[in-house]
Amino acid sequence: MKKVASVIMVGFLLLLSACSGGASGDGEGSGKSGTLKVGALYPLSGGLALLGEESFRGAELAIEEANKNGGIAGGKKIELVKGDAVDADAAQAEANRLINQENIKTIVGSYSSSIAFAASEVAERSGVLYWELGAVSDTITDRKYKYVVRTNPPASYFSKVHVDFIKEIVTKKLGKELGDIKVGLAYEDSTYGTTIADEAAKLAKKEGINVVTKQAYSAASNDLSSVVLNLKKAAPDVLIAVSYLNDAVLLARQSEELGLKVPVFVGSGGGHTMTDFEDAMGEKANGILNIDFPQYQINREATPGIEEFMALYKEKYGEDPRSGHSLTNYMGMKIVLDVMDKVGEVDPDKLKEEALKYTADPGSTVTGWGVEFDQDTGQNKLGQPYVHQWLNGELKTVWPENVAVEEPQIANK
Amino acid sequence: MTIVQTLISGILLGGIYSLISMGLNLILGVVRIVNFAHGELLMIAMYISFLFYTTMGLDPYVSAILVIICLFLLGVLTQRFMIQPILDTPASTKIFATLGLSIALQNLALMTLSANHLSVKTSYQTSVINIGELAVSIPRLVAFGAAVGVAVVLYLFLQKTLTGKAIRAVAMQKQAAFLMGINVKRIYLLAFGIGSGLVGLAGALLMPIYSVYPTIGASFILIAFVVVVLGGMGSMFGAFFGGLIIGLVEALSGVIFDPGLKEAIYFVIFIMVLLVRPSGIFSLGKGAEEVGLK
Amino acid sequence: MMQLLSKQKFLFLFGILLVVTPFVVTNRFYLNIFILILLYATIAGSWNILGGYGGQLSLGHAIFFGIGAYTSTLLYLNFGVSPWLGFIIAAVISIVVGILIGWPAFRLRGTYFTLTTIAFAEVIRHLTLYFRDVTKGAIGVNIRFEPSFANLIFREYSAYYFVVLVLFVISIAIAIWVDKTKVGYYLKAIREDEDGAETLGIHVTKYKMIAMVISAGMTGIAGVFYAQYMLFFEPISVFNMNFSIEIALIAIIGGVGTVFGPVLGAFIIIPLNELLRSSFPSLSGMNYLIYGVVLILIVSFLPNGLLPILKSIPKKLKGLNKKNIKVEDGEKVDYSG
Repeated sequence: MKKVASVIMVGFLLLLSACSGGASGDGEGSGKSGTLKVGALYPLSGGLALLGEESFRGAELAIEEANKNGGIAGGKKIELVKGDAVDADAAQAEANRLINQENIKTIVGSYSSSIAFAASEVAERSGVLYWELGAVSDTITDRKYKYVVRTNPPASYFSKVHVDFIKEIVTKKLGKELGDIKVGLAYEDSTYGTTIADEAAKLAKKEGINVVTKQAYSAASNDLSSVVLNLKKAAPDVLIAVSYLNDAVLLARQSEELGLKVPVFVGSGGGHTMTDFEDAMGEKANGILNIDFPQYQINREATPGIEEFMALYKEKYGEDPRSGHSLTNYMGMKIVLDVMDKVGEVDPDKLKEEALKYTADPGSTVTGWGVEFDQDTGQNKLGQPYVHQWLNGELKTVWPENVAVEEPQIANK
Repeated sequence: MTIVQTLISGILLGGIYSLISMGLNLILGVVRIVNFAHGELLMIAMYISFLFYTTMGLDPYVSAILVIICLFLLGVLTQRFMIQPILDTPASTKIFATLGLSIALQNLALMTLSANHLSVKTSYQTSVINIGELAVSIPRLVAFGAAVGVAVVLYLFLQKTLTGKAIRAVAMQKQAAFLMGINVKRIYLLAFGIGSGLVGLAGALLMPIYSVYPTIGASFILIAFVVVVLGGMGSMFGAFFGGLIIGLVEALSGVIFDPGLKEAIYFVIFIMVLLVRPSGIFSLGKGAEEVGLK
Repeated sequence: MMQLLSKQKFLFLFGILLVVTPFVVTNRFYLNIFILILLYATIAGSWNILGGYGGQLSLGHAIFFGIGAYTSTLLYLNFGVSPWLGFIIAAVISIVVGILIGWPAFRLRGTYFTLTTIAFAEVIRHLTLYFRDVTKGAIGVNIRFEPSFANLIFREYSAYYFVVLVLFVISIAIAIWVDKTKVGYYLKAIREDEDGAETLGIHVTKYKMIAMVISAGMTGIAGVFYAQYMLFFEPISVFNMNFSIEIALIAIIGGVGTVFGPVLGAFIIIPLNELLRSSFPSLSGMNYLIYGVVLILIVSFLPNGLLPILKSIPKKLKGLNKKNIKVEDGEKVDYSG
């Protein structure tokens, strides 16, 4: 026992001394060699890796582009340090690593809301500015944290577009009154699905739209026949679906098999946006509507810089962007860089102050969004998701008109 | 009408669960190993099937035999180099070794193949046979038919052939079997190989129904355990009917109660069956002691 | 006598080191790792009472962890109950749930017991998702950062460190108590041969239940701490099967059925996790691949964990002992019942 004790003790001492050594770090994360450090927290492995990485690519590209163009704030280069945040626990640890090991004062992220929650907690406590560029849970900014800013629209904006689209377009196309339209909801039961669906149901009710059924299911389901059959019984005119990829494919295939025919099927990003979805469904995907962050079949005039982004992406990764997540994160990162350019350093308080002053007109950014941050919550109020439709294998923007490249095609049955 | 359609969907889903579980059941019954990496074997089978499809244009149904062979070999190698060395260790070691294998394989797939969801496009993927208002999905029906076929063939193989009898002997009493001159190690290799080969068949037949991605195994593994324990370890028909029961429970509870509750419901049923009849509904009760039952 | 003395000395030294840690380690990244090490050592130590001493390999301990987190947090958010009181309430509820699970599950052995605990954990996770009016469902629970002693929320990590240190010390004390009293001996007897233990007149179910009560209660308390430390959790982060696997793994790697095995395991696994994650930022999946392989190698070649190896090193160095490495405590474990 004595021997074990001494071995453990020596090990512990080594660990302790190693840790205290690292504590004195390499000073401020800026200045020295004319570089500014930015931390990036995305899920790069695990179940969320696909879109996590797609999101990360957007941030990475914005930084590479800025560095290629001579850096910011008078020639300072930006150094991107990434952390793999597979889940909330990892996000917490990685945020701590970026802040304390790498001396980073600005963190961007994160694709997933749970990662955003965990990481922003750490940032808030450490007084480090956390920029959310992609996660959609409303709560992230509703908490009114001092050091949290978000550039992308949250889930409730998705729900609003869902309801607006029904109000403005679906009623006309189907030739029905708003009160006669039956809406069904099918959504996966994690944060993403529940927030969008709950908010959409609330808004719909307020507008006097009849919500006939709400079907929550686990995204890990191997079978959605019960969801499909329940929907079939309710026979909605409009089906709002919120799905990840696996369940989006399953829902579409089983609807096809079990003969569920919904006049207007509207996805909410996630799986319904992915080219993998189109690959799996083939022509059966044709006509499926989808509300999401901006994609690439979009009015070029409303989204200046999008072609340059696509070229840059192709050059760097050897393939076309797999979804709009990279574009959204690219747009957000560019704002971060603009703000850093103006401040010239990474002081979180100065950055936050400058960020709140930052504005851009709608139609002037690569996503077509404007920028104006809510002074209390730090939420960009001028971002919005668009309505897309799968038409002949391409996801085309169909609404609102200023960004649309096609008219939404809804058959009046 | 909805209820009849639900029953059909449930039975077809049950066929899929049976198909996946029978291999697991054989491995658990004979080699006495709780293989947590079974789901990853399914994932590998699906990737191989996809590979044949993209490189040679082979339909998943056509390449099924090749996938089975690949998985058989993979199973034999796993048994020989990973399971065999730890056969005499405590159950915890085996559980954690196969869990480790599961984590390693999942992430190996993620590293090499990325998290993309890959699927094959077949002309029949959403085809149905319509009987009045009822619809029967063809790929699911094929999987169901295969499950029935496998259950029957495996039963005959285990009952009628000499090798099959040797496998059963090892499953029941490996010391006695050894004394009777049966090469236990070879039987283990064979059982693990066949069990994996069955997963290969499952993977091939699931390819027209599901997409493949690194974590797909995780969504099937717990269900497969439920099915095996429910049906009774070592009993092929048990695994088959266990699958059907779980499929039906899942489909019915989604329609009667709520789709969000179906997982909770079949796990509750699982717990109840364990308590009332721990050897499984269809088990003969043989050999259960060694895995921990009296 | 010699042995006892050195053990006390060791405990004393180890204690001092633990107390000075936050003064030496001021970097939050490292302090966070130390907090996690102590937290996981506490949980793995609690698991060890049931899974190590008692040989009941639970892979559902996330249940108690999650119940602890949800109980105290929902009470705190809805009724303003201080998490300090939450510790007690959470422990009580975890214990009640533990008894409700143990009562049927202890009739099963080995793998069947393990699968039952997994099934219970899945049921509870799905119910938490389903009843979202109460639990907030998948959205998870977010606690506002309002630092105060009563809220058990602190700006400084060192405060959290001392709280978790107290929990850790309690868990060690309980482990030593179990190890030295008849509870531990009976549990080991049950682990080695349940039927034999019963024949000898040991009330098997009673002692399994005692182990469950201790184990569930401590894990629930750890869940409360986790909630107040992270300030955000969701069903998938607290009722996660991977979490159950990880804590069992920590105990097994260190050495099950020993007081300090789980501690050693936590000191290895937690830093390893962080190291692997930060070492391969460009190869997604590489860290977990290595984790999986290490897991296979350790359980295959060192089924009794690392503690016995550590014990044998100094002896080997002295060349005292070549063939007779004595096994001192009850590290030899056979789960096959």
